[in-house]
Amino acid sequence: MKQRMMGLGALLISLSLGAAATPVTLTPAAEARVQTPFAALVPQPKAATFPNGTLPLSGLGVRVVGTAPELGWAARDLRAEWKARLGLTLGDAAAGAKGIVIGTLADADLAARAKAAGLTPGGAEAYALWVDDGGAYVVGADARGAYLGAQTLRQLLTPAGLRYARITDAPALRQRVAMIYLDQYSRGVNDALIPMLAALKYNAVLVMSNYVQWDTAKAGGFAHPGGASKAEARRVADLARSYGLEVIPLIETLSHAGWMFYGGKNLDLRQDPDSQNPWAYDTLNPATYDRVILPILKEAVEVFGPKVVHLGHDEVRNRDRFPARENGKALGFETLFVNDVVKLHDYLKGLGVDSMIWHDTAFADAVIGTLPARLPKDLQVAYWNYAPGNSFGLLGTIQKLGFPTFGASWSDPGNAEGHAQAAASLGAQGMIQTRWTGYFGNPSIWDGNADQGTPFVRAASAFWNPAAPPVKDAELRYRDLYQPTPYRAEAGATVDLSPVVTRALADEDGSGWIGKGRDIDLRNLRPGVQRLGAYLFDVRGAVMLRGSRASVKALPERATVDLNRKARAIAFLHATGWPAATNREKVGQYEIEYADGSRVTQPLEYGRHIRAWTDTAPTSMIPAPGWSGVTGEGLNVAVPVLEWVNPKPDQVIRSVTLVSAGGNANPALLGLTVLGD
Amino acid sequence: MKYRALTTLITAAMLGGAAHAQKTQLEFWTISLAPLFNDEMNRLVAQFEKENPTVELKWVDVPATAMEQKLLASVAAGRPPAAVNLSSDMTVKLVQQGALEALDLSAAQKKLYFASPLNTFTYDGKVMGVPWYWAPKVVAYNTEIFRKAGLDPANPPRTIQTLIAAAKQIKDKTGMYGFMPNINGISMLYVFQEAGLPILDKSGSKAVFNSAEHVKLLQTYVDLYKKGYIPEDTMRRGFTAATELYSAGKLGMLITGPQFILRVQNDNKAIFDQTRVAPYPINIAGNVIHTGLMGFMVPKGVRDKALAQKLALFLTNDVNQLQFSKVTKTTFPSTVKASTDKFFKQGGADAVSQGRLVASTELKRAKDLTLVYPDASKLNKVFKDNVEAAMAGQKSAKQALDDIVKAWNASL
Repeated sequence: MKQRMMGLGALLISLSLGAAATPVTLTPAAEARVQTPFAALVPQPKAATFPNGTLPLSGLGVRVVGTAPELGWAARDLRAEWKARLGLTLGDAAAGAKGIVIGTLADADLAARAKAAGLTPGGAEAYALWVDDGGAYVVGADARGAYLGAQTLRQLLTPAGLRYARITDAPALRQRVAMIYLDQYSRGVNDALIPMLAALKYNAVLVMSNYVQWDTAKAGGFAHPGGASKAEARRVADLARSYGLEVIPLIETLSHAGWMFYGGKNLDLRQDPDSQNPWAYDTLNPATYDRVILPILKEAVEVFGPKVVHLGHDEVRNRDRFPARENGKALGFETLFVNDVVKLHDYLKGLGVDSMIWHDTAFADAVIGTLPARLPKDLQVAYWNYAPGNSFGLLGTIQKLGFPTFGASWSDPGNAEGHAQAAASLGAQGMIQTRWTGYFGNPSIWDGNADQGTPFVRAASAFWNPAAPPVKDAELRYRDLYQPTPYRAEAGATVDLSPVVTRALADEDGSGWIGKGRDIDLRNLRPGVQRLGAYLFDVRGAVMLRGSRASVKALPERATVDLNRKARAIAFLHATGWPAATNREKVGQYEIEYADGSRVTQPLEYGRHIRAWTDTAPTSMIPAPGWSGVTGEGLNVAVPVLEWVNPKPDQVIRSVTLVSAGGNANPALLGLTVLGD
Repeated sequence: MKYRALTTLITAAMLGGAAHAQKTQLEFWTISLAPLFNDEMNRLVAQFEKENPTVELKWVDVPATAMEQKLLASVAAGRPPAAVNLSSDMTVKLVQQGALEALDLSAAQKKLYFASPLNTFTYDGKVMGVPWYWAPKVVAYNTEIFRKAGLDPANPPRTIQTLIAAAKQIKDKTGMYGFMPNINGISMLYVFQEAGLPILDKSGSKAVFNSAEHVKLLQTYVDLYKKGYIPEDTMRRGFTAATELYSAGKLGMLITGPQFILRVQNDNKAIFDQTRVAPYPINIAGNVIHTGLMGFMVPKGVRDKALAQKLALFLTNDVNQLQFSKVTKTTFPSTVKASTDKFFKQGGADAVSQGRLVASTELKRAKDLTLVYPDASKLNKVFKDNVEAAMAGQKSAKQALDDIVKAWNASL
């Protein structure tokens, strides 16, 4: 249905390409921006049906049956959900009143109710959940199951009430681990990540801890100023546990050991005395252990209280010579490696803690016939393979050699999914979703390396239920879970940009879009008023500006929209024709001019505020997902949305001008929607 | 400014040595040369300082995997090294990222180098770096494994087809892997070209590497991978794993730059003693061996561009290139005069000497096949991801190449 209302609510605004202004139409919209609950549950439960109906929220409270801490955490998370999404307070349910009941099979009444509902959960972390006109019930096979069931219940919340549902569910993999980092930015990032990971039903975090400012490191002068304090490490560990996440510290030992040489310290302990960038330590020097490694492991055990410590031990021979010293060469690599693992393993065992290592050095083809047989059989082994697909044969080999085994995945679509299927079918211990964003790069998980954040969603689904189809809207969900958004609609107005369009989206003859013809264009983004992500846009074509490529050199450098309207924010549906050489390169800007003549500039940094239409990896969550689809010949493409928040919402915005920097990544505006009454 | 100069002099006098205080601090970065070539690098530092008494030069060695990021960070921070060693494929990306300065070479300076390598570092008519060393790859093979597999160590494979057949025979007869082909990353782009298959059309604006011939060639390696003839580590750790496996006596043939035979010598003398070296099999259709070229570049933002260029020219001059080759024993200079030295025609009984002689005979077919195309970083990632997906069975070889070509054509 055409939503423009010419002659009724429509306002006239003007746009200009250079000097000439052209009248254009602005059409009011009651739901210019809408945040709604997701229809599908992630992770997808093993068995779920959704009868018609919702349980009204009015008068609804929550009641916990039992004393396990997990049950209290479940109520806490539900209350947070009510507050974040609806601005409501979820109170306590009165005894006997209709409400949300959370408990376990240990309670006879709940066990009987679950049985009567035909939804008895079985197995560790399993739960049953049902919502009907009698109320909402989450019954775990154990307290962990009840907590995880509450995470599912959160997803049934809508502004109208709780969706009716009947669910039985249990995880396919026992341990579902996500990797987080400790650095100077830890607080802001981990405080958002940890609840998100819990909501996604992870049950452990692998915590990169090399650069925690251990007392040992401080005393030795090798504490890095960018590292987290011990107090912060302890706080994060406590926070994680309060969200049901077991804490597994990762301290990279033997290799990737640059942390212990920071500031030029401990150079006497280098494996390779001639190395400029020390990579590994000397296992035959007792001071390696007495002065550095064992004291730090002891501190880590005290701070994190872990069941297992990950000791790294990967890529040992990728950089320097190993062995490099004559006494090491006499013993040989395998003996040096095994003795180091055994020493650390035995030390931790004495503290009541297990050990884990990466697989690649100990199980490399060069040594797999001999080295693993010399390792302790309770050593946990994490097999990393970051390729998509279904080829994970070594996982089974390591398992058959008798080691408790984990798979480890990364960011490529299809990697976590295929790997989790292999791990589940082999009966592996679990899966680890890794993230490699640098030792001091925590904020990049939102802005910079967000394409390593969205896989947390895909992996969570695969780890819990590997048989479920891949999550298609991981980017939307990641944004929403990291920064929960209220469920509400916001009025505004769409803008018809057709008078200033410079390029058609469908390129029939090589003169449209980026000039490459019908196979390489945006024809599948249909013109008209439509909802793209959370936003309503009136799409007419592209206001594409000048760039360095031949086909766009003759386009204008700037385009101006005369708004003459107040706004809380403006949503820009935009992309560049080609990529910039580097992220953060400035490719243009929006210039916002107010009625009083003052101006505000919103820079357009590549990757951060705008991306090429062919660049589908969301490296920053600052832009929201908008349109995604394929070209005529099937290439995946996307056009994101930048929501610019007006710092002066009480002032009338006279105009908005898009300016191109004229480089390879030339900006193109495809839609503009004003938000706010 | 005057005040600052005066302060410097006073400070220098207080320190008891004006010369030291007034020295210009310079750095140059190399790729993965420490610790094997520390002595030669330190010699270069001492020699440059001797020739330029007002300069204090520092050598920094950077792992290959860290080089691009480290250089970009240093340029962004306004503290780049004076000269940086880059490979040809790295250079393409860094030129596009605006991280390098064009050099201003005289005709005489240009004539020091062979035209082809100098041309590799010339973009839109601008010389963006001076060439340094290169080394055509060879096949080092384990004669004991050959014998166990029923292969004749005196008759190593001469074609890619017989190389693959030999690799399969080694695996079938001994259980050990025959080879680890260079197919990780974007290496298939070079494999295609070595087989005489084009990457781009003549206009350079269209990718064409999804023809039936290209698919068939990629499928060859996919089949080898699926049937267990190529170790899993081939895609993950590539050359590093191959050297490790060969040094452990568990790989029949090591396709490598001859300089890396030194690592085998360092890691396992017994295996080194069993090693012989053969030419890398030429694919008749292509009659070319991809040989990556190293060079020295001047990063954007150096304080004294003339001095930085002087350093790059010093590091790659005739004398120093020849000396570097003598130290590495197996790499070749890109300067005309140094290449004629009789050193490069000297054979020997050991694998390193054989490697140098074999590689020298291959030089006439050596060419840096690195292509220059826009958006190289992003297109290379698309290429790598899709080839990996094909190897891992997520996509067919055809689907993978079709998907890469679509993405490339939207950018070219």
